[in-house]
Amino acid sequence: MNGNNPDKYKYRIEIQQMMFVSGETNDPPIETTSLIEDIVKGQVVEIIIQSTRTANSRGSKSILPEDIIFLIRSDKAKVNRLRTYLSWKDVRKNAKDQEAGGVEGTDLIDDSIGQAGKNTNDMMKLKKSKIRLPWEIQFMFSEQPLDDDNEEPDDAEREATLVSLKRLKTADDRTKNMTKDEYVHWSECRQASFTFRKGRRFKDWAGFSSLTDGKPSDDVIDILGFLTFEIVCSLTEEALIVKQEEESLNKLSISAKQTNDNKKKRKHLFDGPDETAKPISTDHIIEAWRRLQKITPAHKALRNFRGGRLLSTTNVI
Amino acid sequence: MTDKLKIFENNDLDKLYSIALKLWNQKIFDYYLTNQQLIILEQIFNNPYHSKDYFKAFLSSRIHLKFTKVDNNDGDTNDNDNNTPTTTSNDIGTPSMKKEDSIKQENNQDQQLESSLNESSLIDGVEPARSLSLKIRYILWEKAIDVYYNDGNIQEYEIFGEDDETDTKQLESKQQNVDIQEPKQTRDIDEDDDYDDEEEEEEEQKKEDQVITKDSPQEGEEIDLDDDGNIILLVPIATNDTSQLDNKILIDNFNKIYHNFENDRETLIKRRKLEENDKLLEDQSINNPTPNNNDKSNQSNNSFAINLGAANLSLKHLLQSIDQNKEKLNLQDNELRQLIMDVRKNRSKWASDDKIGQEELYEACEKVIMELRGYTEHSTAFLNKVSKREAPNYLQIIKKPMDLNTILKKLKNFQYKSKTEFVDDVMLIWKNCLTFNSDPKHFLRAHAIAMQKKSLTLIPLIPDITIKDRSEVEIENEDNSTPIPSSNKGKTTGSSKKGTKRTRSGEEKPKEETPLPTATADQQQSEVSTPLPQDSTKDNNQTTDASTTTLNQSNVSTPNPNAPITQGTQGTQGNTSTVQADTTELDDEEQDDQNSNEYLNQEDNDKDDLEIQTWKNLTAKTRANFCSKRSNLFENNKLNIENDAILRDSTKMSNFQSHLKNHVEIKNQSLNKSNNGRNQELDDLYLIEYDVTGGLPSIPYKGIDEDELDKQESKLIDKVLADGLKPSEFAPKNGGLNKIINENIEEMQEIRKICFKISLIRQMQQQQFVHHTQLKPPEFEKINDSIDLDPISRLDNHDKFNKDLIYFVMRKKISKIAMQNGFESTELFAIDTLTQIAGDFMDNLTKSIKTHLETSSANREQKSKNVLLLSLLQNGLNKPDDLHTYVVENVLKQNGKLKDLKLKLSQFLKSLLRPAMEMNEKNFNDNSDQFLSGDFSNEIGEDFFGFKELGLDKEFGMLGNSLPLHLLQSKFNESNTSDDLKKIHLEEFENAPFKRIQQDDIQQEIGIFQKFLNDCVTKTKHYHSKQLKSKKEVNEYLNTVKNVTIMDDEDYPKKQNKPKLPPTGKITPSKRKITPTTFFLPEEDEKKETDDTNQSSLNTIKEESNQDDYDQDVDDDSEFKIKSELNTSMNGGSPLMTGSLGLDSEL
Repeated sequence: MNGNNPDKYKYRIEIQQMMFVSGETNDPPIETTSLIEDIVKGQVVEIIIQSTRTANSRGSKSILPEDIIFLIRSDKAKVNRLRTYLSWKDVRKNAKDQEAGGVEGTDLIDDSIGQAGKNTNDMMKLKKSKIRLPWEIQFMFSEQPLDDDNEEPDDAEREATLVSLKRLKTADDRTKNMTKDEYVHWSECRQASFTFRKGRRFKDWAGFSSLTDGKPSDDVIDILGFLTFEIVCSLTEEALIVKQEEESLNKLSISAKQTNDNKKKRKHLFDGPDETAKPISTDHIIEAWRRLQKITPAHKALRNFRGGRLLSTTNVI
Repeated sequence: MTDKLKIFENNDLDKLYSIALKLWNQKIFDYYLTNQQLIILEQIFNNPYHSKDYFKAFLSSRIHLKFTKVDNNDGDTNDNDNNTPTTTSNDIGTPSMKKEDSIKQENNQDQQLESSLNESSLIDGVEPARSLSLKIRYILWEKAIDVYYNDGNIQEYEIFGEDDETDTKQLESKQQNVDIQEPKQTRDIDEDDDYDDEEEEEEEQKKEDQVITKDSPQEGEEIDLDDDGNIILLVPIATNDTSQLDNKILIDNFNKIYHNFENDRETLIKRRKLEENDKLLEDQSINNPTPNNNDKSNQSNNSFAINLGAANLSLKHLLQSIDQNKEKLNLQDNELRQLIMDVRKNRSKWASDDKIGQEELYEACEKVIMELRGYTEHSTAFLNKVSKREAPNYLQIIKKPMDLNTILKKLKNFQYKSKTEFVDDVMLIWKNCLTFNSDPKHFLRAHAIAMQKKSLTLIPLIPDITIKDRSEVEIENEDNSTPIPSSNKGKTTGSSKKGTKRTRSGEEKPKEETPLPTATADQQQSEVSTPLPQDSTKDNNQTTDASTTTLNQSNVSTPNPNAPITQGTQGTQGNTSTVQADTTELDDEEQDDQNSNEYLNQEDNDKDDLEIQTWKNLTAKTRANFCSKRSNLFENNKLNIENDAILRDSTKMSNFQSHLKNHVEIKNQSLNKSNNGRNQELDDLYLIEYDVTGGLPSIPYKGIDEDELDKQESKLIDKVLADGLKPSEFAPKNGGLNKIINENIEEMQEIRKICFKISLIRQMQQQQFVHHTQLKPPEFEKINDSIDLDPISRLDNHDKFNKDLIYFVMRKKISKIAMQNGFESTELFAIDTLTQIAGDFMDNLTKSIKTHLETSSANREQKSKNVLLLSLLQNGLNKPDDLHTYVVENVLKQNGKLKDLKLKLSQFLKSLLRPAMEMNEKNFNDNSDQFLSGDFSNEIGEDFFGFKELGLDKEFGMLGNSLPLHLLQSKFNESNTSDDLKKIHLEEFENAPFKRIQQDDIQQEIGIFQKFLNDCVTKTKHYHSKQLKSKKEVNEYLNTVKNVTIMDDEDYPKKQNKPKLPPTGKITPSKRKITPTTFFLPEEDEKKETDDTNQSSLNTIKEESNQDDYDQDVDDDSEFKIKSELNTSMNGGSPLMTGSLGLDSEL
């Protein structure tokens, strides 16, 4: 755990911000952030390797966004969020384009200013629905309807909505007691990303050139940025749980101890505060990592009553 | 009632006979008698003339059984042979037989004893008949009730009785005659007379004499009587199968035999002696042949180092020649060895290249010897040489001593050259014994005679072969073949080479063999010096006490080979040893001998009982083994825990089972059928302890037999027929998830159809030619849910949880799921794999539920709900909710999605087919530009705006992608697939019948339409009248015709082509023609092809057509007219028209 090498770890601040977003209020030590960075790096490498494999089996060398989404396809909530994220990103890009040199668009808007908002809305819809995954049902057939513009069939799948609601709830809980400044800081921290405006750095950091032949598109990098954010968040959340459990355990033992030597523990005036909130340590992260890598029963269900070696790869968080 | 009892009291033979005959006809005897006995009875009852006489004689024990051996082939014709003296089939044995006779004559006095010792199952004479008759009497007594009461045939019986009375009178006198002689209880002398023709004839004469003296039977056949006045009954029995077959049949009754091992000491001891003997022989053989073997192999096979063990001996020459010609062979050493081993497998140790016939002869001889040795009941005394100790004067009396082991040794040393030599030696043993022990009471005589009989039965099995040296034979052959011309010189030299080699080996042979006799002699000497208990058995009773004591004294000094074993049995033998009071000073061994002698002395009490005899014979070895094992367990009078337990061997068990099965099968075969395949190895096949069901009584419950099952089933069928057939629980239910899944699959299939149409249109837009095979729509089979089990399997008594059945049901469901997930079809193998995985999963699930329910763990889940949840979790389902989500999202929601998709796709298709028709509100909203700018050019047609005219036709290809379909109509025509296309689009009109409208029907039509129809009627009339020639006829026609069938447009002749004005109003015929020719080029091509069959390239056609057009411009060519007419009729003349027509067709 060489946390002192400044060249190696480049995302300390970002990771700190992300951890703050996901509930860690204290400043985590460098060791923790470096460990998280290592883990994230490993995950990114794993993602790239696996998605390259799927891309290869598809017959192409470069990774498409679908290949990465395919890896996390079972996590519907995440896929959904990713989709919305990508579509909005598209919208933003188009809007920018229009602003930059959209001549026809302005013409139309000029005709009827009241219609402008509506028109852009249409545009957004059009672009948004473009993100379609190849395992969706319409791709089961040889022909797809060309003009499937108006409808948004993603009436948010049950599971996905449930999870996103949960997310919103936790975020709400976290920010409930914040002051205005704190909230501003918090929302700034939410912008933290491994990739945003530093795609190059990210590529170098993850060692893209040695992992894939093809040049990853911007979309791929964006998706990876999104995923790395998610990884850090889930790691922190899990680590927080671990920490909580540990503390409750400690409390139990301490209280047991205290009953034994109650007299000895006397409080003095200049003693430090009793319970200093400690930041997440590397142990917590390691434990969280272990838990997240645990093989689910679904994975080994067919091996029940049978034995045999269970082949497993690193889980993508 | 008393009458009936009196029959038995008074021994009323006539009535007994009638009863017996009835019982015989009812086959009651079959249950109680062995086959052999049945044969005898059959002879009695089936005799056409004298059956009654025979039977009476039989019951009063005055019958003399005589077994004639018949070849198997003649077996069936035996019935008629009763009185003809049958010659024995084994002429081979004659020389020995003669000796046999001489022996007999010498020992005439002993015949009684001999006959009383009859052992084998084939016994001639009065004795067995007597015992059989007793048995039959018993059966009659017991089973008479069946005759009386079961049949209710008492009257019939009386009739019988009346009939028989006359006969009885006739026979009365004879019976009296016989009765006088009966008390003597004389026994028959001639066991072997069936082997001897002379004696037979003599007897015949005697019999005839006697027959004459009595009032002989009238019907031309004679009842044979022997010397004592007993009736002789010739019983033909097939030679080969008698004893064996009998044994097998007897096995059935074996489990009824009560046997105590306490009586088995005798068998044990005898067995042991035989085994020791065998061991001794083995030792010798090990000592002798091995050096030879090594020498030979070393001599001949230095380079060919294949160790074939004993095979080298016999294959020596083969190996030599192989070695010499090794270069010519392409075989490796390994392969060679394999070859040789393959060949050799079928050969015995007796096989030899030098000696012709040796293998066969020695094989048979060895079998006979082993059989004789194994006949432990009697063979013990003859195993070894008679030692001087036992009988000091033996060698004085017997000039040429012989014993079984010596014969075996001689066999092994290849000293016999022919069967006669061997047989002579064998017979010599018995002869010696009989001569030496001349006292008729001597116990050994009985054994000797028994052995003699046994050997006589066995000897015929040996083929009569005289061994010849191959070299001699070959020399003979060569002598014969010397005049062979020199053309095949090489061959002859080769063979002569071989010949010399063989002679050389022939020389070798005696050399090598010379040490053998000396060795055996040594062995024999040593044998003599070693005190073997067998040696001393013979003379104990004969020699004086004094001599035995002296002998015993000499024995004392010798080592005691079988002391440890005998000691074990010593304790139990105490009683018997005390009987022999005067030999108290004898040592253990001597005592043992004494004991065994005593056993030899013991006569079998149950000698008549064939069953027990056979049983004892069959089980002798096993019993002995069992006893020795058992004695090991109880060694030193205590329970020895360390010793091996007596356990059943699984292989032996299966052997025994198959053996039992076999014999049951054989029993079912007819008696006389040949049975050559059977061998004589049965003797140790019957193992007592393996007869598991031995002493058990049969279970009264027979189980359910087929008929019962059939009845049950037919009952169920009746019930089903009454109630109506219900679907089995495997039939897919119409409803629930199944329904939705089916719907989904159907939706998918329809979507695929639409997709096909779309892709077809795309193809047509892009390519000029569309092959008609591409136009075939994919065919989808509808899911057939009506498949169910066949009605029979649906019955309640059929197993629903049959693994195969479940598997197939599962596979069906799984393939449905696969289809639901988008597979059009699946490989069977893949589905099988999937099914197995699914099966595994279900298996795991149930297993984990089971383990949770049955666990003995302290914190066992109590609630079944929890158990279920836990098992689900362990098998990958986090919560039951997951199942619900799956169903909702993957099945229900998919249904909606699919419907949506189908709608969209069909709209897409529609828009592809007729873009202009979408003039609905939506068009106004979305594509309002169209109306503003009048941008209909695409829909209306290319040339509407005169693009061609402007030279923009080169852009045609670019615009092709958006070309509406109706412009492509020509392609359908061209490819002759308009029918196919109609199938796609106009399915509903395909088979609709349209009635021709007649004049009378017009009133029924719609008012607006009536006018048109009336016009049509006049038109038709007009047309018809036109066809008529004279006006008269026309008028007639118009007057007469009332109900006219309106003609179709198609029926009218084609109208004259009239130039049509394009919407522009210009008359530009040339221009108009250019467009279609380029556009409908392929059609022109076809036209050409039909007109003149030469095929020309595309360009030339183009030119030609253009030429045509220009020609047509100049003059009104008739041909052109037709063509253009065709064009117009097909294409509607103008682009606009085509457009409208195309629309129509699409609509």
